[in-house]
Amino acid sequence: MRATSLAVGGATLPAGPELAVLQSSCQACHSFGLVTQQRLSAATWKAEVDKMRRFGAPLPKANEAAVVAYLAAHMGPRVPLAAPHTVVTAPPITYNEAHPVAAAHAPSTDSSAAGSQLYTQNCAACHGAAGAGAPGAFPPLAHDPVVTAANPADHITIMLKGLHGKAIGGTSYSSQMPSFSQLSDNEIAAIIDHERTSWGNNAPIVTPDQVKRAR
Amino acid sequence: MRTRLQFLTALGGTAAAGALPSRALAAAANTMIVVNSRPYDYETPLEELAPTGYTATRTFFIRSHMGPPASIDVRSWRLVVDGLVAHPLSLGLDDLRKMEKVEIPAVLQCSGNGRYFFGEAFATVSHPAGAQWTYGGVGNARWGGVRVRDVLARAGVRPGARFATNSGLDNPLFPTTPKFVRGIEVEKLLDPDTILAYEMNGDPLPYEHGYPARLLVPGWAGDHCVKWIAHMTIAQTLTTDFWTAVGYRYPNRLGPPGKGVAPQDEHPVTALNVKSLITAPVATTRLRAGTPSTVRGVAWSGDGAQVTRVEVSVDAGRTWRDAELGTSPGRYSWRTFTHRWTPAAGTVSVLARAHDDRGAVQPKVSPWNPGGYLWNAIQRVDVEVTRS
Repeated sequence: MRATSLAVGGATLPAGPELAVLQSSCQACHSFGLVTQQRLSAATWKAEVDKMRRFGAPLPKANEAAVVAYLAAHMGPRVPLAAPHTVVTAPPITYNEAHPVAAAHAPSTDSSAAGSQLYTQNCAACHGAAGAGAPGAFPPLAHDPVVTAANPADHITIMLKGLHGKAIGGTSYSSQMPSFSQLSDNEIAAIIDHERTSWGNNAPIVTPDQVKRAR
Repeated sequence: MRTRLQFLTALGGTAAAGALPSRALAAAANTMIVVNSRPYDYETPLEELAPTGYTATRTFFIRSHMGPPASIDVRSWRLVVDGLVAHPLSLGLDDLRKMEKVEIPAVLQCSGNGRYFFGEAFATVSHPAGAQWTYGGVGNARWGGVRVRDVLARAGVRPGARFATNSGLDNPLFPTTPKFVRGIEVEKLLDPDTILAYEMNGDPLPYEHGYPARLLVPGWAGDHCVKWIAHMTIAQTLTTDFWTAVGYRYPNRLGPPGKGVAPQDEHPVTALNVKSLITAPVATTRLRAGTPSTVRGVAWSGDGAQVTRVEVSVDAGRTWRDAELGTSPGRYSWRTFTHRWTPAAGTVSVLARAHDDRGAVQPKVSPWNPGGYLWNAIQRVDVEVTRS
């Protein structure tokens, strides 16, 4: 995690443990932009955080009070909010079971971001900061056969299309891995490379061009 | 393929090529606005809402609860109809295609479209939580499919059945996150205009919009129109699933802005309300003083009510003129409107105000509600008019 503040949509979010825990807890299911476009009272922030924890957000109870105070202080009703303005080329329309590639046209959130940071923001909520997963819920990535395979095709495909119902190492997982195709080719390659070279994994890395061809 | 001149005309009479605003070029390039990048919520820019009276499929807004399922095998896809029915059904796409087909022109609007403007209008209190849609969480398309009542006639709805619970193939990431499930009155499903749509604007329903079939409940908010629909269960009571019992709800009695309302003091959002949007000029349009121009837009209402009148003001609401209404292709479609005018130099504020045949008229501000639903206030576009 970068030790810098985040300026987005009119709000300035100071760096610190609250920002780190928010980024890693929220982005399993949705973009961080969905958080930073809210301007809520402290009571409504608390209700939202409670709801998200019930929904499964891996936000530790011990952090909750500090996180709610942080949200209310920096994204309260009086903080300016810019209307959504990011314009993208309309997604190509698909008419069959081929997965939509819409998000290939979505904006890159930060193409210069390192793989470890992108991993923290997009993957760590489920697969863990150390790639250990959670027993029965989320598969580990350390020593995973797909992540450590010499041929990265499956790794890229799962990032782009998600995965559900496949037994991994003899274990079935109830959770559904979502598609991350909204990330840019560069970002997906950076995450894959981080996973392939961390936690004892040592597999060939991929290029953004390989991701692009797999879309 | 339209010519450049036709584009210029369609975009509101900026006839001089040099005056073409940058957003107009963007419109010609098929653009959308990102409200939320994952799972994606994209809205349609105003200038792309009604190029032909309908919204193009490619730029039609997309609202995701969980995001599209990773894959759908249409050969094994089934719509299961069960619960309080005499003959439970399991229908494939071919089964639906063999039934009588209807096509309905209809507005589809997210119940939270315009949520952003509650925050603008009530700037000191808690904004309604949720995706901050501005204008374009709405579109108008031709929906082709079969009447739900024809399907339910085959299933045989049993006495005492009052509600249906509908769900699709999209699933949450965590098992603890409530799956998107929506309850609706059987009576509304039996409305001859409520359909299972497998076509959009004459083409197969796109994956992003619910392939192979979705519910389409004209005149009601988009959250009833379950995408990738796979299961319809008929029951005596309304589902207590989150999205119906807690999520998409509107207060029975409006309280002070900014204050939450308990779900038991709310009811599900159903019918849309009277609304209009100005599609030209847009805020970035540059008009020339003394050159005739046209205000263009679309207007619709909810629950089958018809727009009967649209007024346009080009002086920030001091005076109003009746706009010319386009023909209506159906009671659930929007109607286009136009108003010719010749601007003078300066900044002008263009407003539009729609009326429907039940006496409803757009308000100056929509009432604050915790979910930020059903914003339908009069839109204001400030445009710069340069000296010729």
